[in-house]
Amino acid sequence: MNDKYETQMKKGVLDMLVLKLLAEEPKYGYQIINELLEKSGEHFLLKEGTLYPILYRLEDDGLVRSSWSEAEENTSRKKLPRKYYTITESGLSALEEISALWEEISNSVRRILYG
Amino acid sequence: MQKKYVNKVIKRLRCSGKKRKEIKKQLTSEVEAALVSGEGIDTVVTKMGRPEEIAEEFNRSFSQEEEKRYRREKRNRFLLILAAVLLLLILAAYWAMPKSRSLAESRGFQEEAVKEKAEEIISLVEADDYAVIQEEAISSLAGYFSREAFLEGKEIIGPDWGKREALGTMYTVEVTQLGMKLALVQVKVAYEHVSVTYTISFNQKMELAGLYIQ
Repeated sequence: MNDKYETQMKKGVLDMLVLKLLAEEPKYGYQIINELLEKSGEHFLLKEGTLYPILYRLEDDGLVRSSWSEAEENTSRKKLPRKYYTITESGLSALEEISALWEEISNSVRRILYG
Repeated sequence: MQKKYVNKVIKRLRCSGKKRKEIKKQLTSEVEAALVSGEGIDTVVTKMGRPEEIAEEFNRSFSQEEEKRYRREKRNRFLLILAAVLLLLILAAYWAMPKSRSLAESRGFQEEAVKEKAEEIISLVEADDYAVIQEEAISSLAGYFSREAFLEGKEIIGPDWGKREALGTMYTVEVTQLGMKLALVQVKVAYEHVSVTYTISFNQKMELAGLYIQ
């Protein structure tokens, strides 16, 4: 039962967290996955396969944009080009709004739960 | 392994070919980035998700337009395959259909040589030289020219044909069917006691491919 609630709650805040990580600098998908893991103390393991669809949706909504890096010649092997995501102006404003909303909701939830 | 993982996602996607290509390129480079950093494919699956889950999440996130494009492309692909199958059937039917043209225009046969050869076969029939006819015939036909079969065939037309009196006009045609090209000759020969119509065919090596007398 816990799994179901955990998944739903994570999904609710994932857009916000992805936007926040991208507000720091452009990143590619796997980098975001790793940072979410590290910064959440391994709590945000996206085993439900949710990150990539979120990135596509955020891009469709104009909150992020993507660009492919050049292929790099490494000493050992050729590095494939990577798809980097950058937050847009609308993405920054959305992040501000969602963060404020999160603050409001979590305060309300706390008040209900702990009085 | 990397390819297999990505392909497992891709084949489950219900989106346009363009989007599918983009997702494939991205996932391939993402998995590669993880492998290059020293992670194993198992770790990648744990972090990125099982292919079925990734595909399911993608499918849930696609817009209605994207799904419409997917259905349209799928339908077009079906129609294209159907058209290709129909075309193949038409070509096969055309191939199986006998097609004829004048032997004079033929590139594979020389009309005069065919006529000469036909006359030679007629002479062999008249001389009961079934052994030589057997040598001239294609291997699948050779068995029909046994002495008994040959004489029996002649007997049916008439017990005694008599001497040849006249050789009629030779009608020739080139027939192509099932990828095989044949030169066909039909000629009426008058004998003292009977009149016989020969239908003789040769393949491109000028081997006897058919001989009917009536």
